[in-house]
Amino acid sequence: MTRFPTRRAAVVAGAGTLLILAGVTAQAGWLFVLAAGALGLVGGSLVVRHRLGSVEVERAAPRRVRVGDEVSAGFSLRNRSSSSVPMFVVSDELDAFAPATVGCERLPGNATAHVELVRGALRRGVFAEGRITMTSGAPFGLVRSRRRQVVPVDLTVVPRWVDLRSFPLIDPSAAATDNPEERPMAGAGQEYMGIREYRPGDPLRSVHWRSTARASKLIVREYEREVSARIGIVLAGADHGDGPESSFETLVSAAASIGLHALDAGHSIYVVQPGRDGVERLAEPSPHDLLGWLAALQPVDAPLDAAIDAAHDALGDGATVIVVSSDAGETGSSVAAALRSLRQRGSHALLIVAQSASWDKRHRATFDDVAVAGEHMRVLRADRELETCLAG
Amino acid sequence: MPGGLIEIVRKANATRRPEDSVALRACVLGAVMVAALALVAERAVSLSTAALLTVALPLAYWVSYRRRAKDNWHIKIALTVAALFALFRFLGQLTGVATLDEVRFPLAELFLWVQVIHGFDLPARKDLNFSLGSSLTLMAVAGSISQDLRLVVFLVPYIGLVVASLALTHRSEVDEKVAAWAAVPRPSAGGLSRIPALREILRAVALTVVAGVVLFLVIPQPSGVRTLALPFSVGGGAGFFGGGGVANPGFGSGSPASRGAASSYYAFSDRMDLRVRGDLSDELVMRVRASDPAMWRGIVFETYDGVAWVGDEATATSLGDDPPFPYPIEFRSLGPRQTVSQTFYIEQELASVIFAAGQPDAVWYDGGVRIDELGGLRTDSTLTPGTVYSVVSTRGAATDEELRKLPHVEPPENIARYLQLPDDLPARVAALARRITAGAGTDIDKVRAIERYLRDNYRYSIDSPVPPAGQDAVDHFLFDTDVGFCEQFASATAVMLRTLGIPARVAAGYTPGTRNPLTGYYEVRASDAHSWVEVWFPRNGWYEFDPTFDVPPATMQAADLFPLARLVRAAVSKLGDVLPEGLGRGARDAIGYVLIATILVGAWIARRKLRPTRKQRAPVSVEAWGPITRALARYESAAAARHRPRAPSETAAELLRRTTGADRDASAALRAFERERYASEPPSWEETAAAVDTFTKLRDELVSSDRGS
Repeated sequence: MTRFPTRRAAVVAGAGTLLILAGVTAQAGWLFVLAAGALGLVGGSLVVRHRLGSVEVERAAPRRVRVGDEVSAGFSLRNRSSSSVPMFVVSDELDAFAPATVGCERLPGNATAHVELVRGALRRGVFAEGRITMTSGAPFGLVRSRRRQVVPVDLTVVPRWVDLRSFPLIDPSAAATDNPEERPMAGAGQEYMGIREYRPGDPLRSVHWRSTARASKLIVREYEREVSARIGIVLAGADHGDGPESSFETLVSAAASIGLHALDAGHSIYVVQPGRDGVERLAEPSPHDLLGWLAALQPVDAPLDAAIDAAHDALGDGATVIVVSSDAGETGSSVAAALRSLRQRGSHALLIVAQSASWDKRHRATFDDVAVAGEHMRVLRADRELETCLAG
Repeated sequence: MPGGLIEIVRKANATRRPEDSVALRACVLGAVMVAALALVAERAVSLSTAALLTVALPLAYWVSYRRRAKDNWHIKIALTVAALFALFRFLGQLTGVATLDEVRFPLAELFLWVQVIHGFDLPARKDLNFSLGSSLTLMAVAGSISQDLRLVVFLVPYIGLVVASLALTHRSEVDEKVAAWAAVPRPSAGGLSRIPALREILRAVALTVVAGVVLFLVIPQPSGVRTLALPFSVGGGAGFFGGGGVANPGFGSGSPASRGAASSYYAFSDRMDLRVRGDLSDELVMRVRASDPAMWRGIVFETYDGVAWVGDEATATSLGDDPPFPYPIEFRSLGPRQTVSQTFYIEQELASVIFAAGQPDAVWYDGGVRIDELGGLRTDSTLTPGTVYSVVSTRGAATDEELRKLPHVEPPENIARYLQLPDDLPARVAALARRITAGAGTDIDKVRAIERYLRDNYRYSIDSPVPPAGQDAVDHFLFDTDVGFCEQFASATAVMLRTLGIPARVAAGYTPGTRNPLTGYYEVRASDAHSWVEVWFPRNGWYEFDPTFDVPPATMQAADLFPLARLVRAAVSKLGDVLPEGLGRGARDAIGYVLIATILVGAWIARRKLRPTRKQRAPVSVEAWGPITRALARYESAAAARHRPRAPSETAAELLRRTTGADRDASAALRAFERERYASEPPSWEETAAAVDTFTKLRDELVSSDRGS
């Protein structure tokens, strides 16, 4: 705990000193009385005990929130000593939320005070602890005591995502493919493929009556069979810009949106992030696991090769791989090669690239071979909504 | 363009965060009002101004509160004009000021008007803080003018209001900073304890008072030498006309028998008769603001005729028409000198002389000042109450060592007159002087030897025997009575020095008086009238010696610098009074210091020994427990007062069963009580509130049933 006089104390002490000088010059005793009063205020404040050491802080916050959500989060302030603690202020510096400051009037001995705030989750991440600063300058604000304390917390702030209606390569009818598993098949899906003769077992509601009348035999509508595909998401890139809408956060949000859409469509996904010391990977996660994994990701500017290899090893030839990447730095410079490599291996690749310069003009794109991506590319920009960008 | 300018002014003056606390505004207004009233009480501003201020200040604060959230740019422009008007008024008042010192009064009025003008524009907390700081300036001006303890009446509420303002300012700052306030369980007790911060504020105020008193006692209070802005003004009423001589208001006819007031000292005339006796009252005759304590000399006596000292009886000559009156060059002494600036505030009518320290180099007096042949300064008429005059003096600053190095030389012609002795002075006086100073080689050593001799062999008494007719007064004191007061001691010293060929003269005036540490003034009483000796040293001039008390005359001592030293000295003096006189003053003082030191050390040791260690400490008081325990304690007290005290072995549950009846279920409250006292996890806020409520209700029922029965 630190204790220090404030600027006001310096002003009061300065006034006291000036009064002494004036007392000497004017030969006036009352000025010494006033000076003693002013200096006594500072001296008395130095003796006042703030007892912040006896205050125990406990957080109350939900365990999982999404970036941008407003949640109820608060504290319990317990005075462990039998003496009261004068008025103090608690500043919460937990990175997940915007800084918040709450006040507490005199807290009697052994008493507990509660405070609740509605706070917006600002920052994605997994938070195990957060710093609390307690300050008291009671009663005159002349001398301030400060105690910093790290308070444990169990909080995961998952990335923001958008609900996609459709997305290329993930929707089964989106692209023709040689891969039998990915070719459209008759089934109970939603996409209309054509008509055929009735087979026993076909539901009556699928009969196409006009064609039946024309052909004089039962003709039914044929629907595409929805198949479960293997989809890889490779996420990489450094961070540009500030705050919850920075380039990497947007990439993570994009990955979360695509991943959730894929899971929703019944696909299994494999998520990879290249790192300096290997790759981070997450295989066949649930939506909950996917968001939790993405919450902990940190931006890394690393080449994509290792991550592409890892995705290929896990998914095999012909898989669908979505590269979610920055266009700058080492990551950006390896994008074109990664796409070529994927195609050579028979995989279907889609590039989601964040235009770094739109977040920070100082950054130059190192990925400029747009032709490599062809039409399978989406560009994320700071000044455009994620949903719009992903829709192409 | 003007529209743009107005917009700029508007933006620049927009209130960023208005202060909404009415309590804070009220406290700051109170502090400013008290400081303004202190100035009024010190007569720094006129009563009409004071009446106007008491209306204008609250009005200004009310307006600024109402308009705290607005930009008020048009008010600011009006206030600028008003401030300029106040400044021009101040400059106009300066033309009527006679001395630089008097500038303080229009300046105080200007400060006040600035406070009023500024009061119309106090939207934010920082503006209120500025106002509070400005009020300190007003209080300081009042303090610099105040001569008595009347200021305490204003100082105490002022400090209270400042403390409250600071506490409220801090509360406002915190309020601004926080997003929310924690819900703190409130005590169930009523009254002032409901105000959460009150106890902390009172504790801080107590600590502030203690720290302030301690600091006041130990902060040194030196006085600077003022040579500028020295005040002087004539007092009320017409004084006695001196006619060029010395007029003493207490002795209208000049005869000792005509004494009209117990505050009058007969020696304040051109004659000091050693046969005159009489007590002097403790009436305050003047206050002196001085850079150093000094003997305030009024009269110098030259000729000794065997029974009396006689000064210059001739008409004194004028020193000029306008102050400052310079001291003529022919009377000035050389050598190392120390400057003393003094301002005299006359409280009782005094003789028509200028009292001043040492050699009065410059005198500011609103009237004619004359100088007699011996260098004494006289006024045209007696000094009336309310008269203020200032003097910048110098006095000899050579040490004994430096004086010892001076050769003994024949005094010049104008100084040789101070070797005069009566023709019939008994030879045994000169013989005694030679005997006393037999071992002393220099003039200063001879002076010290005579001082020592008188201290060791003569007693001080105001009722010393009067010399019989025909006997020399000094001879009578030295050889017959061995008892005398200041006149006898000074006369004997001067006469003996003259017999040794050392020029000496007797001076009459006042001792420095007692310095009031609160006002800083030396308070001089009638009983401080005194006479002492001035001895001439070649190339250094006149030096003062006080053989009566054998102390260096009026030098700055620790007690003048530190109020704490004054306290200790007073205590030592009181202790010394109960010790036998035969021990001598030095020994009595030493015993007194040792006794005080012993008491302090003993108290410290006793405190350390008696204070229980942490393990031995008594159980924590009820106040230190939680709210449930305190509520139960209140119930216990109520039961005990109704002859149902709790037995030592009785548990709280047993007490409740016995005193409330079986039908009352207080089990939840008792569980909460046990958790508060003994469990590591205290009860929740709701449980605490419910338990306190239960015990309070039980107590109320107990009290009401008692009333009913």
